[in-house]
Amino acid sequence: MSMWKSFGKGNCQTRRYWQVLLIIFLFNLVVALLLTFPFWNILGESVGYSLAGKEIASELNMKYLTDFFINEQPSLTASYPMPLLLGVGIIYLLLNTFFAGGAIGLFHREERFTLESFFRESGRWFWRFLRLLLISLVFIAVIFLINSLWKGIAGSALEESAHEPLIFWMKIIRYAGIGFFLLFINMVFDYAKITAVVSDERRMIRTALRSFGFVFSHPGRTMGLYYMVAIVGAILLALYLSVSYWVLPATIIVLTLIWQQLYSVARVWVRLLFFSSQMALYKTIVPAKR
Amino acid sequence: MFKKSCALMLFILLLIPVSLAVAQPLSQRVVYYQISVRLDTDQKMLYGNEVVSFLNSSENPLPELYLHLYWNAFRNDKSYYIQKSPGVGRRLKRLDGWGWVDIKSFRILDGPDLMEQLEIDNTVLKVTLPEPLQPQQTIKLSIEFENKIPKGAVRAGYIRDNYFFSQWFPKMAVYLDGEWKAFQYHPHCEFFADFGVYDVEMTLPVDFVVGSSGMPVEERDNRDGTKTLHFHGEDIHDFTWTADPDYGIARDRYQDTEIILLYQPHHADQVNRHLHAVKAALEYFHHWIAPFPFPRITVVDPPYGGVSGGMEYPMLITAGTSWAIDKLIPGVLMPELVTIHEFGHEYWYGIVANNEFEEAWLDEGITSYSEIKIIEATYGPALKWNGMKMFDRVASRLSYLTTPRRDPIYTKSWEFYDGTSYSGMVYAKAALVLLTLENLLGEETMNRIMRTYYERYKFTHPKTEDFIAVVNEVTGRDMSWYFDQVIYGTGAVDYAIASLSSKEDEEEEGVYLSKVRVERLGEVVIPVQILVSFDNGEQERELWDGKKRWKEFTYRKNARLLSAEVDPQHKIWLDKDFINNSRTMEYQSRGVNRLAAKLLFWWQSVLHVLASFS
Ligand SMILES: [Zn+2]
Repeated sequence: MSMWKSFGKGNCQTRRYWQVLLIIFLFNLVVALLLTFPFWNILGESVGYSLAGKEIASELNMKYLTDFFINEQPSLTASYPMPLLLGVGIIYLLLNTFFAGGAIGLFHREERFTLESFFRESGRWFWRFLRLLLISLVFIAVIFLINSLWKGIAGSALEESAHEPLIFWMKIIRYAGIGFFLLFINMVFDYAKITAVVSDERRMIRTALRSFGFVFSHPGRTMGLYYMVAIVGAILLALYLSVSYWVLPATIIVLTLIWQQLYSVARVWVRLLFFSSQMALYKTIVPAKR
Repeated sequence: MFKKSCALMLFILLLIPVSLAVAQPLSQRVVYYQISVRLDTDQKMLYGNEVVSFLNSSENPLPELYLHLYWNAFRNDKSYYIQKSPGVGRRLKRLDGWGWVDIKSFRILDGPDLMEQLEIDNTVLKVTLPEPLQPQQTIKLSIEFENKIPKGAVRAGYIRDNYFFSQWFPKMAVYLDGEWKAFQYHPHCEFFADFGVYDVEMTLPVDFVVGSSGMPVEERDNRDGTKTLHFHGEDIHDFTWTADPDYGIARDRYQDTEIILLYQPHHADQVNRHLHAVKAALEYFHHWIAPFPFPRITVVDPPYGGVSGGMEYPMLITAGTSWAIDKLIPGVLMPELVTIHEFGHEYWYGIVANNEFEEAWLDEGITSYSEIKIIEATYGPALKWNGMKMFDRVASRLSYLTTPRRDPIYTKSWEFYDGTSYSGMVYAKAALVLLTLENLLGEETMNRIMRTYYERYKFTHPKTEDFIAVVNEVTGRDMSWYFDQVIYGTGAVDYAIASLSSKEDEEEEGVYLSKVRVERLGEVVIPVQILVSFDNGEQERELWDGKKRWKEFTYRKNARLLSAEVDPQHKIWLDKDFINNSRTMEYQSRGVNRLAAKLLFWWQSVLHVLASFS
């Protein structure tokens, strides 16, 4: 099966399991709402009964935004303490790891969706996925370590250079490099999760290393498929931004809100599309042992 | 013969008043410097000989004289400057960029050697004279100095082939009000010097392009790979120059002023932005205050990674931009803001030359006020990005609000709590004090104040009380109540609508009894306007002197109250919170929800990114 076919298969599966998409989307929305709520409150108390509030409805006046963020800084920092944000972040990451198990498990078994089957699969793969998450964090840390080393070396090499554009492009290349390797790690660990499920692997370090091997032995197809999905994601982002800037009237909040949520759904869809299409590709290349 | 000599006499007599008029100096010339200096680019050294004449313009005999040796701030990590700014010390250490001034000889010209009489304490040199310098007497000192050029210091030094020489020569301190204003160089401090004349000859490699204070007089090729340039400056109080073989040169003109831009080759596409900004500033000042009195202004675009950007010197300013910002965010007025600000200093520092050590607001605050006026009149918002607009005055307000009340504006530069408080006060709050004053008095009166202040104090050293006296004189009223609070005090300015109510009269249908309570939350008292709006379109304007902490206004009308706003035109830019200035009867859910929706989506996006790691 080619990249295109894997993409098509993935798309079919993602649509078939729309309930999975809905769960992940709603979870994102609920957590974001909880995080927004204190801000909403503070904002309401500050500008709610003021002409500033009236003006902000049509134009984001920097004068008022400055005043709001500076004068409300104590209540904002009290409402968003660092430990809380960190805690929410970790729980969110863990629960998404849990949901990833459900999604990949269902995509693999092609079982009918029920809440029971989804959560069963989620629970079944959670510990393995969690270990993969921790291993991937090691790789991400290595990327940032290399980045800072490179920054130091390039920095002292270029310190005497007056070539501003060169320095600028070196920086851009460095950022692009970080981006590329982060995406690469992301892709390898997608395959690690897929391998864990499809081959029922239990030793996660080995699975992760094998996934590197898998990607390195099929670089064209794996990366081709990954970037195909990534480009779909980029197109959706461009569409979202264009419509928000040029089409949507800023004053009709309901429309903005709906459009934002549609885009949020699209982002979850892209994430699931990565899983499902990569699984389709994996299964084409590696004969299944069921 | 007789006839001929008579005619000659007549001619001379006629000429005298003309030449006197032409030669009439703009300033009292207290100092006259003749300096010859050689730049050694291999050793990164400056070798200089200086003859400085100093006129004792005070009424006291001076037993000793003080001079500044600014580059000693970068001599080692024990200097006062580095103690206060360890970051600069770490940079100098990393680059091995320490720099200094060494006095090799010091004598009275054609007189005794004074080397034994010198007391050098880091950046301040004190010399005890054989006999006190009497009032109206002039002394000529002959000084030989050797400077190691710093690298990675502040405002002066070299990077690659770019050299920037500010505060580079032994410079006379100012004797004012019975004391020497000879303070150690502190990271917050700028400079203060007497007006005078400078004749500077610099010898350097032939391929260097030079920009300088003063006007070029002569250039000779020494036929040994070096050239000597002679610059002459009159009625200036400092002398700064720069040299770099790679400077691009662009020239322009506004009326009688020649504009020279020395730019970095990679910024060639921003030449017009710089020139446009200087011309806009020259034109604005020409009409607003007075024509620029000097024949030339040199604008220096500093090198990448350099330390000389964003500074003012007589007849020479340094700007600052970057190759990338122009491409990434063209909506940011990066070279314009700094160019216009520094040009403003040509008036408020270069000509009206207050003591920058002790009353920095007079130059920084007035210049920031001028910058805001010129930027807004010429370009509108200072930043346009992503549908958002940021006006220069809002940026100042942001800086002021971060530390609004740690120090009064009137504080000696080195006595501020920290750099943020220093800049928040002397730049930002001071600019807002003047914008608020303009709004209270009207633009026309304010313009008269600024013009009078300039005319009266050009080429002298005014003080804060002089500025206030001009305000009082021009307005014909005592405005001390304002300055006492906002320049000398640290009180907060904050007016608010505390509460609103509007109830239908129980006895008369359609008639509403409305109440508006205004409150002064800060200590500062400024009379304010209040605008009260009703649902039939009617508006009531009230005046409140703000002396008590609160006041209530009541209305009986055939209309329901809609909103009330104190200072509805936002005249008082010092008010720390414009949001509480108004109150509406209805909850403004649309504005609140719009912002909340933005934040909701922002959180959603952050969470999506986080999820991609799982
Ligand atoms: Zn300034």
